[in-house]
Amino acid sequence: MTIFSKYPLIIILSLVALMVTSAGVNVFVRHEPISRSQLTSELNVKVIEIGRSELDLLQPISETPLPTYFLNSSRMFTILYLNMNFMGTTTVDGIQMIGQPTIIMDGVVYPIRSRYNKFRMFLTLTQGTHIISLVNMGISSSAGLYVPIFSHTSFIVQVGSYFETISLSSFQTAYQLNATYDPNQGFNSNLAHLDKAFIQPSVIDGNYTVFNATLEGTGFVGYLPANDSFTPIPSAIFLQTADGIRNISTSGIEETKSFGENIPIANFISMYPIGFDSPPYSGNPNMTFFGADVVSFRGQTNGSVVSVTETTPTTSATIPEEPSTPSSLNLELPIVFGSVIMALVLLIRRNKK
Amino acid sequence: MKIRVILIIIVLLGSTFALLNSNAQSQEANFTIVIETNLGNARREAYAYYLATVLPYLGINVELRFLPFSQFVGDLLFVSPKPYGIGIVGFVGGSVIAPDFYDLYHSQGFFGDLIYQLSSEEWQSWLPNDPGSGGITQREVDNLIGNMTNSLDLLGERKQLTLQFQQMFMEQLLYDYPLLAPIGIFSIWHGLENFDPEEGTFGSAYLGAYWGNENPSDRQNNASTIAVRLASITGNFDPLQVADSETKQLLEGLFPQLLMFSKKDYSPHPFLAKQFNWTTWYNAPNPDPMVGGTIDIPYGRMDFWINDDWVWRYPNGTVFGPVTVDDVKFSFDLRTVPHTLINGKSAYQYIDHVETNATEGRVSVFVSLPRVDDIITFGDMDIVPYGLLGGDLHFANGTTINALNDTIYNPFETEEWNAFENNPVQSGPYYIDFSDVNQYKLGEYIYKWANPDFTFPNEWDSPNFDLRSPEAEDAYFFAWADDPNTAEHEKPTKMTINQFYYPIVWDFNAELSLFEAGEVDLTSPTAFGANELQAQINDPRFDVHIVSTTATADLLIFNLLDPNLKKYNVRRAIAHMVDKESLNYIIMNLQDPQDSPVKPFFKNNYYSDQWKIPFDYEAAKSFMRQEGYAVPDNPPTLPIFSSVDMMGVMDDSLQLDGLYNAPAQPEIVQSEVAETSMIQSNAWIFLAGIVILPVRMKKKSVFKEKRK
Repeated sequence: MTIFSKYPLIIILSLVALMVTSAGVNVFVRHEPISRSQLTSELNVKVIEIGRSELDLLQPISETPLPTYFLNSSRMFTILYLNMNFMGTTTVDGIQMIGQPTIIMDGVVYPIRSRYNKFRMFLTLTQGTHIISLVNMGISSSAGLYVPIFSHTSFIVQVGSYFETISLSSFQTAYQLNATYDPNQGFNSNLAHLDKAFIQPSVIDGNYTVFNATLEGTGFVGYLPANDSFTPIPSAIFLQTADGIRNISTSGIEETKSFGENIPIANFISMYPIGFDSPPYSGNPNMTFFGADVVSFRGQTNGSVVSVTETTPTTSATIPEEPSTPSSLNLELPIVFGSVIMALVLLIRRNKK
Repeated sequence: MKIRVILIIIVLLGSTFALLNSNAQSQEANFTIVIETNLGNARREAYAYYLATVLPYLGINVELRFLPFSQFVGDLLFVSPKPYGIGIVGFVGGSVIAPDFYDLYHSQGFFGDLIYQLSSEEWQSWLPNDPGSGGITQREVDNLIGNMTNSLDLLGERKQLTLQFQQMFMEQLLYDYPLLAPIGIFSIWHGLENFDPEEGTFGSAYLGAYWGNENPSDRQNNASTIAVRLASITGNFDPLQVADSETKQLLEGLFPQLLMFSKKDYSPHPFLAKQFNWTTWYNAPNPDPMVGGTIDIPYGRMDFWINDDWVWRYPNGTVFGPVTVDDVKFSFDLRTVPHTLINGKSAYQYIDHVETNATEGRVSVFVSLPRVDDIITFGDMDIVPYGLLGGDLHFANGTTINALNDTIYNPFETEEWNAFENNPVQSGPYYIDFSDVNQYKLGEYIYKWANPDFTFPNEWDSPNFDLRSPEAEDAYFFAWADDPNTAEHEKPTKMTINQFYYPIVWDFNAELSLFEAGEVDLTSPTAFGANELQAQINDPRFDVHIVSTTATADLLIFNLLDPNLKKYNVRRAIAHMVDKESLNYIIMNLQDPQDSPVKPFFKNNYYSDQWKIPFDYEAAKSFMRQEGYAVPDNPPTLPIFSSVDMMGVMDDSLQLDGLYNAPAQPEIVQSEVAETSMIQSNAWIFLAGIVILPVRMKKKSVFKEKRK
């Protein structure tokens, strides 16, 4: 009996281990580090106005750690008004281009397609603190090598009934990105969705977030209306944390910061060009289009995951937000079946007695 | 005993893990829906982003698809199954006299059939079995809508049915969920007494507006003038052929119409007709001439008795002759002859025929299956002189044709029509002399003068109308002038504004300068940005007015055949997640919530918000749980923003000032200028961004079979 009493636990633990392991399996097509030695940004981006509307504008009430705006609202969801300006140009093969302005809020990417360099946008904010980044992406070429270029700026918006001074907690994230480009995938503008999962987290290890990424269909340069003769080019990788957004290389260790519960502590964003357009399709000047993919990690105090706090950064754990399914979700059936099987085994053995 | 303990441990352990997993699974989305709207409409995109943020709180994941408008409309109308869960769009058109839901929510209505798919067997069999809808059938919905549509007792039976439908729609149907109703915003110099923003300048002038003592001294025009900038006008002043809004505005008040309709609620006022009567019965002529006789369907007759003192007058003051019943009949017949090129003739095709009685001064109009819109179709019709244009017409080459009988030649090319188009004989409260062709070029100006021969029909001449109206409900049209509470200024005896002044200036930006200098009296401040709007609100010299429009709010149109959205409780849960107070800031907190299928435009008589669905997260969760969905404590995933068909798709409406980053190609610049001009002359349309779907035209086609 002592032997039997150990089996269920062993089996259950084995099932748990199996499911956790299987969730972490990655398939790499090809390993190809991205070269980004000549990145220079000529694309200016700035915020003109922030508020609830054009008639209800805000001024930053703090400049640390970033320009910080306070939106006095007790509503569950509050809409933020952004009036932005994207300036600057770059060239591809001598053609003057503008970039694609993009807003990234808490790791969520809002690509914008506008021929105008001044425009407005509305974002829905929940109660609490949010990190918002404006990124302007373009393409530059040098000796036939195309590289994405960008400029960016970030600010913080706090929504609530009163302003709370923001303090950041630091911890480190180690990561490794394995990027591939699949030339067989080709390009079809109708298939160039932005929501494809190109980054897949694999292992979560203590206070280090180590993950691998697979980048499929990295990007290309070519006219959208004539989808041929594309030159594949790599994507750019950004890391958005509570202290802003920055461009990172495909592997390394970065320090990330957080300002509290349920706020993403690390948003890894892959932005990849999907071509450029020219008049009359996009007006003038030419414009580069970018797709994006994101994986976010956030700390929570929910009982099912370990909390992230300022004082215990080293014990923090993160859960993937998307696109992978949390491994625990796959456990239910095996556990139930395991329990039932073990119960049946025990019953049979008992009856045999 | 030990085995039992082990068994219990195993079961408990298994259950615990299963429970943990079940909790974990509740973090997963219940389902995913696609929200689709037209790319480039910043307001609708903002609504979609809002839903993508809030619906995960109900365990509903959202994928966004912003498509070119034509593709989006294609999905709305012609694709089945629908590729979206929610489509965001608004409608303009439809009846302006009273709410009419036939097109939208009747299973045989154009949009009811194509967008909402109410005629599908799947929906008709599902609806009675949906617990949230309380067992109602689409047939019951159709019956109620049909009764509303056919009721001409507007403020009695029809109003009651409309209230009944509003409750049914909000509490049992919710085929769509309306958001915020569009409005119009304009500024006018302070001090125009009796000015009614809803009626506009011409309507107010007709009702006795005048510049009073509070008019600031730096306004440049005199007390009897209203000055309005026009961007450009055409050189054709025939009201039957003019299609552009600027020239139409210029021609306002120059030609007779049977009735004048208040822009507030489209109630009719006396104009050329001094009396009006409307009767219906169930005894229509059989539309099949081979069979003959009558059939038992509603049939209507409108009788107009016209004033006998209106005269056609050349701009130089020469009187051509009286306005007669023949002019009215000719103006109708001209619109319905096969070869006519007149715009909008389809609106008249269901009027059976028109009879006249010259002795009584009566025009009688016969209509099968009459609807409230028929009164405005005929009553608002511009009338042209039969004596000038109704007989033989001559071409320059000597060919002669008859205005109504010829089917080959275009009568508008004849000498008579050309003369009329260039400087028409007129008969209205105002007149314009178009004889100088250089007068209406860019940079010039036009005066519209009060007509000295115009006799003001200041009240209905209908002391005995009750005797001619056996049914009391037919009498509502006469309530206006016979109501002792009608303000005296609504019954003027002469024009207090004796001239309109129209500088013709193409550059829209010049309008702001002209307005602030007091050269023109009106402008659209929103076209110049929020700062200008705020400045004009704060400036005591100007009055900023907000007026309602006849467009619907943007609607969250549900795909009723979606396995999840077909449940009323799910649709209701989504509606409860919409915080209209927050959404309102997207349009500068200037719009009104529409909390009913009825447009707030009908707020005076029909609209009721007593069944509105407030923002209520707890209620939303409750409705989801009633349908067996788990509601997560936190949104399980971040929104996914998808964009398709990016090729050639650019966003124009996000612009602030249209500045380019690099020199633009000339043709693009030109199109931008045109676009800007359009936007600025219809500032509220730009602000509201309502996409025009021609309800009215479609309605006619829907009724075609029915009327037959």
